[in-house]
Amino acid sequence: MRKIAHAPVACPDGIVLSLSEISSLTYRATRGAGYEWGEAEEAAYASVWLSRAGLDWAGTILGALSGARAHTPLPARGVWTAPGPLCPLRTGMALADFARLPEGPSAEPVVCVAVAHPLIILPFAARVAASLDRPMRLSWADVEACLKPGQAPLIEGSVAADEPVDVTVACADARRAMPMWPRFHRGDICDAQYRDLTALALRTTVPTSARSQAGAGAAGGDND
Amino acid sequence: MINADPARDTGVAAFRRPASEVMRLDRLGSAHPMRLSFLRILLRRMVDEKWSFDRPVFDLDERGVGCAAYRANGPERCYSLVCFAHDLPAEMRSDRVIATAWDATFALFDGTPSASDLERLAANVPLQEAGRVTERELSLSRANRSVRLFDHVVDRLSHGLQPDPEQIAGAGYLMRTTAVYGSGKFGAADRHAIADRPEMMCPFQAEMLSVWFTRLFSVDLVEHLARVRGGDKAARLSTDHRKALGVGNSTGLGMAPFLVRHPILLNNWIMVREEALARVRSQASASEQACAGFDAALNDAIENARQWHSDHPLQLEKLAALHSGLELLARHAGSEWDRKQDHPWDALWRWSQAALPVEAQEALVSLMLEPHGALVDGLAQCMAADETPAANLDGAMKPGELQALIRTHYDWALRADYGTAADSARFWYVSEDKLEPRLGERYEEPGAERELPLDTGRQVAALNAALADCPADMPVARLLLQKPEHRNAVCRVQLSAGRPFAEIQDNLISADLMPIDMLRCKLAFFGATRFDPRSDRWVRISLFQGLPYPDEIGGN
Repeated sequence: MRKIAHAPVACPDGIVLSLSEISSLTYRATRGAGYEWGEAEEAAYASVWLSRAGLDWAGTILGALSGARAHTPLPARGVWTAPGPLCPLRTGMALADFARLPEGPSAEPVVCVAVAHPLIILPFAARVAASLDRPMRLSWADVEACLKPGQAPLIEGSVAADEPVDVTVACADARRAMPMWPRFHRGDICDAQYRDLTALALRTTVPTSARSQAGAGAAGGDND
Repeated sequence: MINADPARDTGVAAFRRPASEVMRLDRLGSAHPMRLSFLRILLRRMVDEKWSFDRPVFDLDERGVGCAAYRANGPERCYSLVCFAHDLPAEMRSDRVIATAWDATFALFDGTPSASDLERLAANVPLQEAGRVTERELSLSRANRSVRLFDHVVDRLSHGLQPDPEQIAGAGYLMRTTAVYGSGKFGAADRHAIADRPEMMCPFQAEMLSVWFTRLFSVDLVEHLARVRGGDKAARLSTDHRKALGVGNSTGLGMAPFLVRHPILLNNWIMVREEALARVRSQASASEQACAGFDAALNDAIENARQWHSDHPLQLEKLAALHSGLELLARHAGSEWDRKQDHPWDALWRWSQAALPVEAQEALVSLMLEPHGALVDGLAQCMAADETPAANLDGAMKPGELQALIRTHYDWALRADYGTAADSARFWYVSEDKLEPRLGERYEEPGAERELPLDTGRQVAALNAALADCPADMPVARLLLQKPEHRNAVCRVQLSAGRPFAEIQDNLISADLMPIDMLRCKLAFFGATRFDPRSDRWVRISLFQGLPYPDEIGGN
């Protein structure tokens, strides 16, 4: 691994990052993986949201950013598909963007067909809930997730999904009691995940040239 | 909320400056510190709430190496600056972010550190970026000595003498910080974790507290070294000399992208200042007390300008404009300005628009706010921002609505021709070795394909062109499916509705961009004085100069 500034010190239990470090690392890694800067901003939001919820933010974002690029969804009433597996990031963003449009989940449930790493959809479904000001329900395999505006998610089932799954997004009733966000937030990441995200982030950086070094600072020394 | 008082507001609206004037970079780059600057807000709160201060640790050896801790005790919580003083060889002294060793390193601890906290901090803080702090730390920083003045002061005090006032005035500080990191950097507490505390709600309060204690530490350190050298005959620094010392700061491009990456914060800061100015201008009369406060502030400003030195040609030009402008202002305020007329402050402001250079006009903003604390200080609580709105993009918006927003808030962005070399000459990027923002020459250096999205004007112009090709009823959500490259611009344009001051209204990749203008804007909001550029992208400033020390405002 190349030595970079800002690298946290590893400890036996992995690395603990602040939310702003999670945001910054995800922002750069997402751009490094070939997404647009505006999308990287959304991915950073998603990572922070997942880590606040105590979910595997690093594994999820890394999964979404690595491997073959999945497809942008084609939103239609009731079913969102594409010629192959759906990109979870772009599906999540589109769900939030279409929140109040007919193709979105406000009128009838939407089934997103074959989504890889579906956890990433949760933070965006939370945005839908905030935008519509009503609870949302997500389900795939044996997972049931309930999202209420401003509250931490309630998740039941096994969230790990190795293969793309069909995710249903629908409005829900408000009866269930929801957990509160924890008072303090940090995010865990293991060494290998940190290394891989950093490698992606480094694709956004430019090697320092003598010229850029010279221009960046003061002309003289500091012994005055 | 700023608009929460309609009775007051109806009168004030007519006195507000338009964003198209305020947000031009040359005007932002002429900003002056003011009573709503962050360090002034911090000091006011600590005075109002009668904070007390103590120094629970001061363990320095005869070389000045060791540890000290300063504590601020507020009504609900306390904060401690833990300082580590080092023995730094001259050849290692650099104010660049690429340095690896410093004369002193600091962390602001949330509460009172235990012995094991101090041990943990001693193992990490001196390493700065190469170490790691925790959620108990609110800031991480370092400082180097202003060598000539530091040695001179130690030498004089050790002989029982006071330092040469000219040398004090020349440097203005014993130490200068080279970076003050907060908000979750290197493992520190996130802004989020402290933002709901009243004393931390305003931006950068933890960082300002850290720098204020650093100033005291620099004085304690010279007095300690003078005592080591001179024994009983050593003198302490006189009150006047102490007051004349601030803390220096060296800052480069690392600070510049902040204003672009935080449009809601930028909007709130500027809106508060502009609202404050409008409130003063809207006053029907000028009280004797306010006039006296203005006159005193003007005298101070003239004196400060006299002591404000720079060797940089750009700054020399601005300083000349400031000197001549303040002189004109003093003459006008002393004789021609009718203080008994209707709306006298507005009359003074209107006069300045034709009579004074931009540099002095912006100084006048600060001077007019100075005697109006009761009218404007409450606005400080509007300077913070929750920057994570739950839903920040309206995908249902139609092209026509977006285009209307662009016409209203981004006409400046459409004026440039980004196809020309002059209007796209620069690119912002992050350097690989230090992950620091830099500015490159697009047509002369490699790396433009890794450009940072600070080219807001160009992005909005591209969005505007894309919208022209969209069917009128196509929601923006569908455009973003096809063209995700416009997402950033769509977010910013939508965000600008109701936030007129969210954007610097200039092309940040043009050949004639002055990056130091961005630095000065932010530094003025911190409360920085003596802005002294060392290049077009590197600057030294002073913080807390002339302001009180802990023992002058609190107990102990």
